[in-house]
Amino acid sequence: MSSKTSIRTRVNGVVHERQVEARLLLLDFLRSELKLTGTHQGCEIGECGACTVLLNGRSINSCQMFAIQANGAEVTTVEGLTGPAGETHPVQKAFMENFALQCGYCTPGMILSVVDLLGRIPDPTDEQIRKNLSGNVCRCTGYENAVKAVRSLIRRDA
Amino acid sequence: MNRKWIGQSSIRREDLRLVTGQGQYTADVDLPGMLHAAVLRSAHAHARLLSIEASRAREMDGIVEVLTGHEVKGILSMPLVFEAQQQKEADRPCLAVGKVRYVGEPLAIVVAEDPYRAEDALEAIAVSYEPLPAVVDVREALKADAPRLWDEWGDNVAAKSLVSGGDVEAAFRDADIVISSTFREHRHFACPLEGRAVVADYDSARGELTVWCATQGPYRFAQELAAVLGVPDNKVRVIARDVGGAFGAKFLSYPEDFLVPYLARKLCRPLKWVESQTEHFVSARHCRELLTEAEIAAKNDGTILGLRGTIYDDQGAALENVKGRFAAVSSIGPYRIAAQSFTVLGVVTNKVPAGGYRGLGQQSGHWVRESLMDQVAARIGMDPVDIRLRNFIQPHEFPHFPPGAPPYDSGNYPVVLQKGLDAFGYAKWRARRQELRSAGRLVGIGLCCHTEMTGFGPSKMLWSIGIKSGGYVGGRVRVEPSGTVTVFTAMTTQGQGIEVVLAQVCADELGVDLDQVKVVVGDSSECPPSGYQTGGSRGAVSGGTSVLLAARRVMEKAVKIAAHCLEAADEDLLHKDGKISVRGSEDRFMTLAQVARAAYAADNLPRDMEPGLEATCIYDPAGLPISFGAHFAAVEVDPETFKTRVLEYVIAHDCGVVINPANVEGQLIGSLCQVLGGVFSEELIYDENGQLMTTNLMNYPLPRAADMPEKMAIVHAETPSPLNPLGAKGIGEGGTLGAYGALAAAVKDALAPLGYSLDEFPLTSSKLHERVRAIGRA
Repeated sequence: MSSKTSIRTRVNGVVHERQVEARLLLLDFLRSELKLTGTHQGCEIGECGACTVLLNGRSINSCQMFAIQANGAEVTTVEGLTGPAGETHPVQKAFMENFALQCGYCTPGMILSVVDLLGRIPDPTDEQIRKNLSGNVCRCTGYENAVKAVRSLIRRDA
Repeated sequence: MNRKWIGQSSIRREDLRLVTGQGQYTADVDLPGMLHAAVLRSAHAHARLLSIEASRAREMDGIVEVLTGHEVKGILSMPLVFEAQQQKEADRPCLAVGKVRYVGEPLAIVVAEDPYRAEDALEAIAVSYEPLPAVVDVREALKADAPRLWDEWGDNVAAKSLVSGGDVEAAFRDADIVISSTFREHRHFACPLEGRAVVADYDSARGELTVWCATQGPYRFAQELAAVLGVPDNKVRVIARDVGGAFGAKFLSYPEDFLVPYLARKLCRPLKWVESQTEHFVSARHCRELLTEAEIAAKNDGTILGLRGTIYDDQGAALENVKGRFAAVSSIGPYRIAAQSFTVLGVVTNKVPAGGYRGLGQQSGHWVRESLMDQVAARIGMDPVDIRLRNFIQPHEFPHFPPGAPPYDSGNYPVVLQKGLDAFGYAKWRARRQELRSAGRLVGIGLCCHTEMTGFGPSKMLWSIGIKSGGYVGGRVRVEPSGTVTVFTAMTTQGQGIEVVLAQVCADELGVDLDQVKVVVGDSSECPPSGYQTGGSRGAVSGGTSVLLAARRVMEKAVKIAAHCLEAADEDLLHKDGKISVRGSEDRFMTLAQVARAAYAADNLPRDMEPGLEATCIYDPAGLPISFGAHFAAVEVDPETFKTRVLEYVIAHDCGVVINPANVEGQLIGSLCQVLGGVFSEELIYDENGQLMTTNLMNYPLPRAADMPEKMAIVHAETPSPLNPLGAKGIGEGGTLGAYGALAAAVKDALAPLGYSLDEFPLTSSKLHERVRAIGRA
């Protein structure tokens, strides 16, 4: 019987205390323990970005981290972007308005990557947008509309 | 019929749930008491399976059950759903018995209380193999002394077909020019981001099986499950609400699709199986990989007389031959070529079974012909554009009956080509290429014209080509008592935006607001039947037509009810802008909502009319609408690294009447992106022992946001199809079908100054480097 460790995380503003095995991935903790299935399993080797979440405000691949490593941390998943009454986050809205998704499987991860990008660089160039989106594999759209969606969010001060 | 919604880029229904993480993919399904499965796979490409010992695994903590081939032999075998003209058969148990034929073949399935423990138990299963020599090359597999995958066969040819029409002998006899070439297309595959997954739940009190599966065809799969498991088909329900990309990978059923429901029933507990991506690489169907020897017959004035050749289709350890035949049928394309003959050999090798991927083999057929036409043009000093124009089927020549291919309904190829030429700036690029070449840069331009078979397909036609199912699709339209509308479709959502497209078609036919229409997808019990899966570019065309015809039947009844209530004759009523009014006194009208209320209140209906307001149409297409595309590529190859940059890419396409332009554009750009990967970075590489060397995204790189062409444009024309009331044609595979040929032509053109003349994929930097060095040495 594997031993379990106590962890305490704040996910989307809610504190969770759980007993987990050391080898439980953060991705699986979010999906199976907390039933937050918006974060998706893609490649399991940190290459595709489908599992992207924000950890203490920065984007990470949740398949490359164990849940115990998130002890004491703040995690934001895609569900955490939506408001309490279902209000969509500007990035979610921009994706919808610009047809930036098709099957939606890469979309939560991509949206969080964009949240991270705009938090660091509010006015990215196209090159910066594409470079920062390069951690998220999309097999459906060809990325062009995601780039448009990000462009539409850039606040240009007069 | 109103066209208020058709033609609009209406916002997709599924987007809100997908961007907020509320999608329902199969792996998201969570049931009380659910168990988890893991699959043990063969480590050898070809071996006798001497023994498989699972007792230690069964005793491990948290392990509930372990099945091996012994337990399922004679009980669970894979159905054969595609048959060639000459087809060999063999029993294919869902877990290997006696022999393994590819690395990744399922050997055992473990059921545990949690997925991590299930995986742990795999290591406790002891397998004893007697390795056999593996065969991984189509030509090697055809040799008399080649290792044989199925001992009971005389050879490794699983399937053989002849695709032909017209007088090919005469064509080649009368030719002034005959050019032949060998075309090599490499193995790659659909690789959707969501892998395969199955969840099964058996209700023993009701004898009912519910299965969630990332499948392209819930109805079709439910029928297969019922047959294989021996459960009555009115007690099997398959649900696929959201599918994370399919592109053909989730078209044919897999062993796990039967094993998981079988175990759920046996154990009377829900069971979930989700594959890892590494598993996907060694067990989800591969595709492409055709070796084509082809020749073209032409006159000195550029008229193409005929094509012939042999297609060696490496289909891995599969019985069904799929892509090779689609390649042969695509050889004629948009031209008046009068004769063709291709022999297709489906050859088995010790590799993952081949199946579907966008386009199947169509893109190969188009590439082969376009390249041979370019070679004829070069021989006679004709511009590549001119030889296309010379041979195009003209707009007044439809319907056209190409030899060895289904009839073409309509098209205006010269107009679409011209739009593409203008958007690309063909003359400008020719001049620029000259200029850059003089400066020593390796710049090339390429063109590929193609047709696309869409709206699969008439049931009789599918049966005649060995697809053992009908091609119909069901749509049901129900107006609720308050006037809202529910559409039930047999199609599934896998990214292509089918929900909003069907809502648009329905809203226009009924004259209601788009928001009033709800669309239900992906449920074999709730939704009407479909003979064929969601694929074959049939969603908007066939799915749309089924909904339109069902909505039309609803309107016919609505008019009768309104006529009765308004005390007018049916023929005196007008349906316009959401109102059914009396011609000449439009202030006497009923809205559809009022009609619906009357239909369900039933206090004042016409005599002998049943209450309610709904209709179903099971639409069996009359033919295949044929779309057209002309692709243009300008590339530059780096002379040191041989990495290719796509400088400009233009797609001119015609898919008939467009229902949702944003959807169409999404399909074209998305499929182009896939082809960029397929051409420049993706390759499934096997070593001589049948070990797959590329098993994850690090060594099988998919294209990223930074890899798209520097400049891109899509232009379109709409030549309606006479085959359906929408006038629509499909487009799901259009971007794929022309892009391989255009990029191959452009790179070949770019490297022409170095003496490069090969017709081979992939065009990765290392492969180009290797081939160019070989020219130097020769």
